[in-house]
Order: sequence, then structure tokens, then C-alpha cells
Amino acid sequence: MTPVLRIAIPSKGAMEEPTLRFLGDCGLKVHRSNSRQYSAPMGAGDVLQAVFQRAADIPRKLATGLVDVGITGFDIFSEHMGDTRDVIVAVEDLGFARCSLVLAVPEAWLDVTTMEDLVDVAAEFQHRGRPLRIATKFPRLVRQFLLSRALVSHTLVEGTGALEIAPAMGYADIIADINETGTTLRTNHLKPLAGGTILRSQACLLVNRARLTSAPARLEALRGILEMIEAHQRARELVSITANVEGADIRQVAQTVLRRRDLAGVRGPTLTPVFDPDYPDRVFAVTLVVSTSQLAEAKDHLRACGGGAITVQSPLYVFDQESMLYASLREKL
Amino acid sequence: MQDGTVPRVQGFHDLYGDGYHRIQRLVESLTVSFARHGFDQMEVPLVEGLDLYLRKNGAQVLSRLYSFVDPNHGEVALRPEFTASVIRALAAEMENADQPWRVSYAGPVFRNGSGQEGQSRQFTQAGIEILGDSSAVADAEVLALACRAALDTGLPQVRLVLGHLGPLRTLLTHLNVNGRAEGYLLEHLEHRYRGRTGDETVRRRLGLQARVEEGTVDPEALPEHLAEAVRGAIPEEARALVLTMLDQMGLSLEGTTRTPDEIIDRVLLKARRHAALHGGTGREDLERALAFTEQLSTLQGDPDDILPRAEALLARYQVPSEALDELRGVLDLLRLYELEGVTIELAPGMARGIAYYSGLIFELYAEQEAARPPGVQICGGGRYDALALAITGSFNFPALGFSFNVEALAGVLPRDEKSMNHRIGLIVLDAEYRRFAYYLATTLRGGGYTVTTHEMRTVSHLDVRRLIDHGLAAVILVPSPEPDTFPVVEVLVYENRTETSDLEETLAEIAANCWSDLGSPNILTTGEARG
Repeated sequence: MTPVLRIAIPSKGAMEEPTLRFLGDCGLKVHRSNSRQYSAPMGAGDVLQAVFQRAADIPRKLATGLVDVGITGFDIFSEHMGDTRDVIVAVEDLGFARCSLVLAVPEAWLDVTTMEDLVDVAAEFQHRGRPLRIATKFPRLVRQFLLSRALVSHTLVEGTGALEIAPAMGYADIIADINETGTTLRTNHLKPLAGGTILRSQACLLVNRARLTSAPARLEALRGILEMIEAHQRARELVSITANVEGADIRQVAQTVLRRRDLAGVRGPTLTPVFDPDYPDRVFAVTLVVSTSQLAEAKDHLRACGGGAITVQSPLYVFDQESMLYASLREKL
Repeated sequence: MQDGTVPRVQGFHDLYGDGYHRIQRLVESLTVSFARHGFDQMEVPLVEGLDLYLRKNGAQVLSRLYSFVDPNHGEVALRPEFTASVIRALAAEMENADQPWRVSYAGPVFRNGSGQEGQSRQFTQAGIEILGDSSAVADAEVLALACRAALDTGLPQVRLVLGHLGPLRTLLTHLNVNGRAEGYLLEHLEHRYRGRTGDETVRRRLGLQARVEEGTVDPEALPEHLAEAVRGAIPEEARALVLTMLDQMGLSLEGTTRTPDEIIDRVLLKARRHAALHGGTGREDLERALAFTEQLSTLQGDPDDILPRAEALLARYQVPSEALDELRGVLDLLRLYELEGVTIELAPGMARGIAYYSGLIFELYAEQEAARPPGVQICGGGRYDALALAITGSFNFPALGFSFNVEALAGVLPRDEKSMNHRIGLIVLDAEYRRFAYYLATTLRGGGYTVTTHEMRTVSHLDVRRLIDHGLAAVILVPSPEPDTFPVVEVLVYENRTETSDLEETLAEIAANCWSDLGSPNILTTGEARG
């Protein structure tokens, strides 16, 4: 049977491994038997097919309709935005492959710390008869940014591979490249500029608008994916905390816990009777679902309510009444 | 793409029929006007090296460039305008020229619309350049030509808005404002003049206002240890101080595309600017320049009213008023042309986006009931006396010019009747009359008419109406549906057309002559003639 939905997944690069891990975490494991396989079934059943593509090619493959959905960096999508009219962003923040596109200058340029300095230096270069040369893999984003900062006199040197060496080699004066931790820049004696961050990026989920609106089955298959992604992302934000609390009766225990309404979950705590032979009908398991950041507070609160034997679990997935991601995608379509 | 059709690229348009003729006729009208004033038409490439445009244009145009890599040249771009190409092309001629060059051009230019819906990415420019003439007489000639050419296309009334970059540039030179700040202030003037509010961006860029999003306060900041070292040092010692400090820190300034001296020079320059901004006169000067920009941007109106107000403003800021004297001179010269239908306004705060304008700048607007003010801008230009140097890199010559946006002009002109004057539709209702019909068509074409022939079995008023709506001035039915008419044809002309009767009569007469030329008994391929 032919799959309903084809999903492009970055291969042979820094994004491949985190993407596969992320999909696995979302219950959408890609069943690839060897790393040279070009496509592989994904998730349960035969509805979804993963297609491996270079991250930089994914926006174009989407635009031509060869695939319906794709995962790639927001930086790559933004660079190609002009020629991919039917490609829209369904999920902007998948939460991995975080990085920034930054302008970086040689550390030795002591006088250059801000974008304004760079404008001055570009004028100096122009005065000496040649424009400032910037090596980059993102010509469109970089040019747009430079012009918006009134840095007009420049030439872009388009390159692939390690751009960091361009200034030392002398074929560019500065670079505009992806920066994750800053280590690569420092190693190559480069420093980012204040005000020189062109774009903040992370992995995003793209879709071909026409391919989805023309076939309800594809849209339905995508809804399944979005539900799982959203449930996985929601689950990461929440913990489930359970404690045994003693009280006169279920109502009294509930009221004690509800004294901190903000820690009592969305609708209120879940109480289950615990059959303690010494205290029949007086012990209840109280379960609260709270955000990860509230965990310590919730634990203290349950203790204050007389709770003990506190256990904490991470939910695998959290599904809401309806998928917000799907609803917002429908609007964009 | 899904259904197999190839879509038109967004922002580009197909042009045919009346729409095509409107543009062509306007280009022709403008080119003829230019030619009558001695401007010889030239052609320049659609594609130029990207560097050419980077040397000339402001961010506004550059951000909309269509650029790509040519394997043989490197970065190239579709032309977004003509001036840079014209100057590049004629620079060699200018080296030995003893006379100014006058050239005109017309053709498509391309500006990428950053994906905005409905924005045209290709439009037609027609314009002129005068190279090698820096006189006020040339300024006035160019202004008069722009107005004349606009009026000759059929516009009843135009508004000419004149500005001059002199006042602001002079003030900035007097205040010793650096080149970067000058650029920011010019851009700000443009924003204010176009009615965009707020000065936060420019204040931040100038370092007058804290940069909230990044936590740094001013653009002249230096790394702390450097600032320490330079602070308080007398200039002669500062350089040595910095070098010693770098040596102690084991920092090398070698190995980049700037020399250690260039880097240290700028470190010291920044230290001086920093001192000026915090305690010296730098901050005050920038505030002064900004306030002047604000006031200048509000001046626009009748020259007799604006000139004294501008003079007073310049006097308040102790800026010499040469630029205004220049404007006054140009205005006096322009009056000698006795242009009717032209309203002249002065706007000393106009900036026109392009940093290379050096003196006079102007814009031409079509006055329309529906869009007033400001009306629709159809033309713009000015003087760019330093542009040649930026483009040639070695020598300079003065230049000025303007360009019309032909599509904008077409949009404001009333329905174009002239282009239809000589278009005739010849409808053959009976195949037996073909020989006569073709003879008539050939005769009409020989007389300068454009003739299309159509074969129809019957013809209704609606059919005729439709043909006329498609741009025909007249329709000739062969033979006439009315029996016993002479000379067997019926001429129907476009009712609202001027000189209706003339055309009708002329066409009927030509048909009659053709009829007798062929000799009525033998006129048909077969059968007998009616009438």
C-alpha cells in the first residue's frame, strides 16, 4: 500500500540524530534498517513514510510537492522563504537543534564590538576601495539584515563547510554563521557582535499547503503527528506527584489540598482511597499534575497537608481536549 | 503546480491589448519629449555586477534587488534602476568629453517585493541623465523637461516638489558628525518627511538612548580594560599605551584583513567619541542635528512661504544658506519656461532615500481629485555629483537626472483614446465579399490605419460594442446588413470618440473608392454585387 503522508527528515548532518530521537520520543519511531536507506516506514501502521534528505534541500523538496511534511532548521526555512510560497510552518519550536545565525569578527578587532562599529569599518573598507567581505551560507538573510542595519557597502562570499577559517585565510573579512555554544567561534579567534544576531533558530515542522488541502487523508495523517508532538511537548512541561494524606474524610482532605488552588492541578486534585488496615477510610492518595517548575512547591504543600510517601512521575504524553497545534494549522491553511 | 499548469511568478504581469498599448504609448511619448530636448536614447544591460548597485543605492533599493550568481562573473543583479549603468557605461566617454552628455533610456527594471501580495516586481522606467554639467541652468532644464514630458502625455496638472540636501549636509559637517551618524540622520529625515513617526530607532543608533534589548548603552563603547587604559591619556601616549597593554596580555592584532594600525586608530577614535558623547560636545551636537532634522522635515509648501521659513531655521542653527540661494536661483530660471499646469512646492526636508544625492532633489506628482494630498508620484530625480567617483573609483564628473515610473503614470491618465484612433475592425459577413474586403483592408493599411479582419455570419449591436470595447475606433461591416446601401459597407464608430463624423466620412469615402477601383460588376469572386 502506498503511504498517505511523506515526511522529509534531515540526514547526513547535525540534525539527523536529534530529529530521529525526537520522533521516537513522540511515538513516531522511524524504522530504518540501515543508514543508507533513502526511505523508511514511520510510526505504527503504513500511513507515514519518512524520506531522508539533506536539511538544506528540504524546503525545496516541500515546495515541489515531492514530500508533504518536513523537519528542518528554521534558519534554513527562512533563507529559502522567498521561493517556497506553498510551504508554511506548522510547528515553529520543536525544541531541539537550537542555534543562532550571528555576525562574527576577528577577536583582534578590538575596536569592533557592536553593529555600529561594523558599519564604520565597512565605510573604512569602502574608502580604501573595496567593500567589506562576509562569508556565509545564508546570503539572503544576511543581506536583508545588513541592509536593515544600514550597512550597505558589502560583498557576500558564499561558502559551504567551515567558514570560520575564512577571515584567517583572507578570503573574507568576517563571517555570518550558525553558532550553538560559541566554542567554534572562540577556537577560531572570532567573536560575535552585540546586536549582530541575525536569527534565532531551532528545528521546525514545515508542510506543503496545497498537498494538504487537496487530500483530507493527508491532513488527517498530519493531525495524528501533530497530536503526538504536542502531547510529547506538553508532557515535558508537567509532572504527576502523588502523596498519601490522612484526614477525617475525602472531602476534608480535598479541602486541605485545595488551600493552594494554584498547586491543585487544572480542575482540582484526584483523590483515591487507600485501604490502610490501621486507619480504615482515613488515608487517601492525592495526585496533582503540575508544571515541572512547581514540583518543589507542590511537594512542600503536600507535606504541609500531612502527606507522606510522595512519588513523582513524568507523564509520557499529555493530550488535551483538542490539539492546539492542529487548530492553528487549520487556520493557517 | 499540482494540476499541471505553470503559474505566473508572483509580482510579474502579462501585458496585452489596451494595457500594453497604454504603456507603449507613454514610453513613446516620453522618449519623443526627451529626444526633442536633445537627449539621445541609449540601452544598458538588464544584468549588471552586484557591486555597481552596492556602490550607488540606499538600503531601500538594495533590499529589493534580484541578485544571483553568474558562474562567469560572480554576484550579479537584475537592474533596479538605470542611473548606475548609464554612469558606468559613459564613464570612459566622460574622460575626454568637452561637452556635457545628454542621454535618455526606457525599459523594465526589477525590484523584489519581499513577498508582499500584489506588489509589482517589474516596472517600466523612462528617464534622462545629464553628465558633466554642474550648472543651475542644467538643474532648471531637467526640472522643466520632467514637467513638459509629463504634461505631453496628457496629464492636465502636475505638482513639482523641490528639495535640497545641502542644508542638512552643511549642518552635519559644521557639527563634525561622523559619517555613520550622517547616514542615520539622512535616513531619519526621509522617514519623518514621509510621515513615519517616532525617533527611537535613530536615537538608539546615535547612542542618545539606551539600547534596551542588548543592555549596552552606547555604540562608542570599548572593552573595559581598553577604555581604562586610554581614558585620560594624552593622544601621543595613547597609542603606545594600547600597544604595551596588548603585549602584556599576549594579544596579537596580526592575521586579519585589517592592519594593527587601522585597528588602534579606531580604538583611539572611539575613545575620543566616547569622551565627547559623555561630557563633551558630542551629545549636544547630535541632539542639535536631530532637532534640526525634525524641524526641516515639516517644511513643505509654496516657495514664497517656505523659503523665508527655511532661511530663518538655517539662521537659528547658524547654517550658511547657500543651498537655499541655489534653490532660489533654480526657481527663477524655471519660471522663464512659463510652464502651465505645474504647481511648484518647496520641501527642504525631502531626502529621497538615496544617500548619493548631493544637491537638488525633486519629485513629480499627478494631481488627482481622489488622491490629494499627496497625489500619485510619477517621477523623481536629482543631482548626484559624487556618484561617478563612487562608481568609477578614480575620477568624477557631475551628474543629474530623473526617471518616470511609467505604470504609475498610466494609472493616473484618463482612458487612452489616442492609441485607438487608427484601429479598424473589418467584419466580413458574406464570404463572397472577401476579395473586396481584403482590398479595402490593404488600402486602409496603406493609409496608416491598423486593420483586423473578422469573419462572422451575423453581427449584433452587442458584437460591435464588444469589438469597440476591445480598443477599435471603428467597425466596418462588409456587406452592410441593410440591403441596397452604397458603397455596400456600413461604418460604425466609437460614439464617445472625438472627431467621430470625420472618421466615419473618411472611411466611407475610402470604401467607395475601393468599390469603384475594383469595378462594381466584377467585384465579387462569384455572383452579383448588391447596390
